[in-house]
Amino acid sequence: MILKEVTILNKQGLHARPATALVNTAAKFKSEIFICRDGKKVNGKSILGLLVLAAEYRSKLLIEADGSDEKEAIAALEQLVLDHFGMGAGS
Amino acid sequence: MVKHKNITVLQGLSASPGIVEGQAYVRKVDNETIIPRTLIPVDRIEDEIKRLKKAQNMVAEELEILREKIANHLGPAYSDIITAQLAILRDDEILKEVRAYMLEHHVNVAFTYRVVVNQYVEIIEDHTSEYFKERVADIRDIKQRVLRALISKRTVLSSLGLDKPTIFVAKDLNSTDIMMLVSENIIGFVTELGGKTSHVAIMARTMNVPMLVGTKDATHLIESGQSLILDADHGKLILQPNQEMQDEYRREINILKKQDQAFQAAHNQKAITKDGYKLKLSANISLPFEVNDVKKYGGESVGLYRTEYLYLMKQHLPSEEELFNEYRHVVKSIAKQGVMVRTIDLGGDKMTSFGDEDIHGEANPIMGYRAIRICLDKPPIFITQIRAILRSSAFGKASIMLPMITHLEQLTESLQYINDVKHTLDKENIPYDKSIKVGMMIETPSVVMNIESFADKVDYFSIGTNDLTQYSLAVDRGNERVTDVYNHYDPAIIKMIKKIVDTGHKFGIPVYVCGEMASENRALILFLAMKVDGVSVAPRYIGSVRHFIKRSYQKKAQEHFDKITKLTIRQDIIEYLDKLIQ
Repeated sequence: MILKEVTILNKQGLHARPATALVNTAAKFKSEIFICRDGKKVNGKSILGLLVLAAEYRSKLLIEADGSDEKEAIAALEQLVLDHFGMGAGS
Repeated sequence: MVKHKNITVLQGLSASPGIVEGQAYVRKVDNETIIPRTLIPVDRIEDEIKRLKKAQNMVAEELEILREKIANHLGPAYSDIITAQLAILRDDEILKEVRAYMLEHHVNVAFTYRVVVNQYVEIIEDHTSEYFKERVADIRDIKQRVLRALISKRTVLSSLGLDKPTIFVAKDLNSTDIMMLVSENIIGFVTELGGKTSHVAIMARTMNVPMLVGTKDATHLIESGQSLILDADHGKLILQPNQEMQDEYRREINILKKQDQAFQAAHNQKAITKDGYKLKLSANISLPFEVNDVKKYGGESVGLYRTEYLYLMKQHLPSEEELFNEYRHVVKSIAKQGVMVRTIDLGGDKMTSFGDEDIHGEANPIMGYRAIRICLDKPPIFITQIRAILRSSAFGKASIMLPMITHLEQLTESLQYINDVKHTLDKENIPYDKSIKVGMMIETPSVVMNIESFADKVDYFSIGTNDLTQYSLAVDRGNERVTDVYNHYDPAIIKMIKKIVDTGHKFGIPVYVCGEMASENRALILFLAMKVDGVSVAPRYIGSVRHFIKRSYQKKAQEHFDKITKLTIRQDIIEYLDKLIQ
C-alpha cells in the first residue's frame, strides 16, 4: 500500500469535472484507491464519494493505493492533480 | 379576452414573447415518485440488482441522446453537465451500497436505491460551499431518471417523460433547467419568481420559447396535465380555456405564423426607406445555433454577439480552445457579413463566482464588479478571450466590441491589451485578420458627455440603449416598483443618442444601436431622423423592423424630429411618435 499527500490547485476545488477526471483515471488501475480528507475516507473510483469530500481550493488530500499496480496508480493520480485535472492553470 | 367567469386567467410579466397552447407540467417543490417499500426474499436480491443495472443502462442511453441533442443545439462545450451526470450514474459505490443494504434489510431495489442516493444528497447538501450544493440537483435528476426507468420499465427520452407539447410551470428556473428542457418537448415556461431581464429570461428569448415570469401562485393554481394557453405577448396565462377561447387563440397563432412566414420570405431584401436611406439591419445573438435564425430572417450581420453563456454554463472558466471553437463556428457561418463579438459583460447580477473569487451578494451588482472592470482586473481572462476572438477572425469577418466603458483609461488600456495579443500571435505565427475593427458600446452618461475623446480611438460605436437608459435615469430596470421611471423616450436619452450619432459621424465612424429599443417602430423613426447607420435586434424582430423601414421616409422622419426635440414631456414624445406610426 502506498500513501501520497496532494494539494488541490484548482480554484473551484474538486468539483464535478475534476472529480470525473479523477474517477476515470483511478478506474484504469486494478488497485483499490481511496481518498482521505479530514478523517473521511472515500472510494477514489466513486464520484459521489469525491463530492462528499467537498475538497476546496488548497485543501490537502491523502491518496491511498493498494494493489498490483499501486505505484503506477499513485504516479498517475499525482500528475493529474498537478495538471489541474487537465483544465488549465487558470481554472 | 375573459368571457366566462369560471375560467382563471393569471397575469405575469412577459419575459419572452409568443403565444402557445399545451398541457401543463407543474414542478411542485417535492414531487418525488412514490416508492413503496416491499420485502423480498434473499434469493431474489441478485435479480433485483440486475434490474437496477438494466435501468441504469437505459438512463445512460437517454443521457447520451440528450448529450448529443444539447451538443447539436448549443455546441459541444455545453454538454459538460451530462458528462458529470453520467459519472454519477455509473458510480459503482452505489451498487455496492445497494447490495449491502438489501442483504441486511431484504427490501426491494427501488426503495433501496432511493435510500442510498438520498444519503449522499443529505451529506452534500450540508456542505458550506454553494458550488457543491448546486451539484445536488444533478444527483436528484439522476435518481429520478433511474427510479422512473425501474418502475415504468420503459425508456423515456426526457427526465420528465413528456409526450405532448408542454408548458413548464415552476417556482423558479435556472439556466441548467432551461438547457435541459429545451431539448425536450417544452414549448413555454411559466415561473412564479424572476424578472424580465434575468439571464434565464434572455435565454428563453434567444431560444424563441415564450416565457411568463412573476406569475403569482402558478404552481398552486395549476395542476399537471391541465390544458393551458400561454399568451406571453400580453402577459397572460389561461387555465382550462373553453372551445371559444381556444379557437380565438388558434386564429391568432395562425396569423402570427403567416406574418412570420412573410418576414422569412423577405429575408434577402434590404432595409431601405422609400426615399432610399439604407439602414444596416443586424441581429443580436447569444448562442451559436442562433446563426440559423439570423439567416432565416436575413440579418445582414451579427451586430451583437453576447459571449457570456459559455462562462455561465460551464462550471469553470472556458479555455481558449473552447472559446475559439465557438467563435469560429459563428464567424464562419456569418462569414461575409461580419460578427461584432462583445467581450464578456458578466457581473454580480448574473453569476455567483468568478474564477477563485466569490462575487455573490454585491450590494449593487449593476454598478459593481462587471464586464470590462473584471477584464482589466484579471487580464488573463481578458487576454484568453481576445486571443480566441482574434484567432476566429481568420475564418471570416469579426470585430471586437468593448462593453461598459466609463472612462478613457479603460479604453486605452483595453486597446493596449488587444495590441499586445496581436504581437504575441504574430510571434507565434497564428493567423488573424490584421485589419480587425475594434468598437465600443456606449452605455454610460460619462462617456456621452465626453464622446469626442473616444471617437478617434475606435472604429465604431454601438449604443446599448438598455444600459444607457438605466444609468442615465438611475433606475434599476429589474425593479417592478420603478418601471415607470425607466423610459427610452425620455428627452434626455434622445438627446444623448443624437449627440453620439453626430459625433461619430463627425469623426467618420458608423454608429449602431443594439438595445431592445431598436425593435420598436417609434424608436426607428428617431433613428432614421438621426441617420443612425444600423440597428441590431433579436433575430425574430428583423422581419418587423425591415417591414417598417421599407414603409418609411427618412426625410419625413427628419422633419418631425425638430418638433420632437422641442417636446419636454416623455408622454408627449411617445404620443407624437405613435401618431406618426399609424
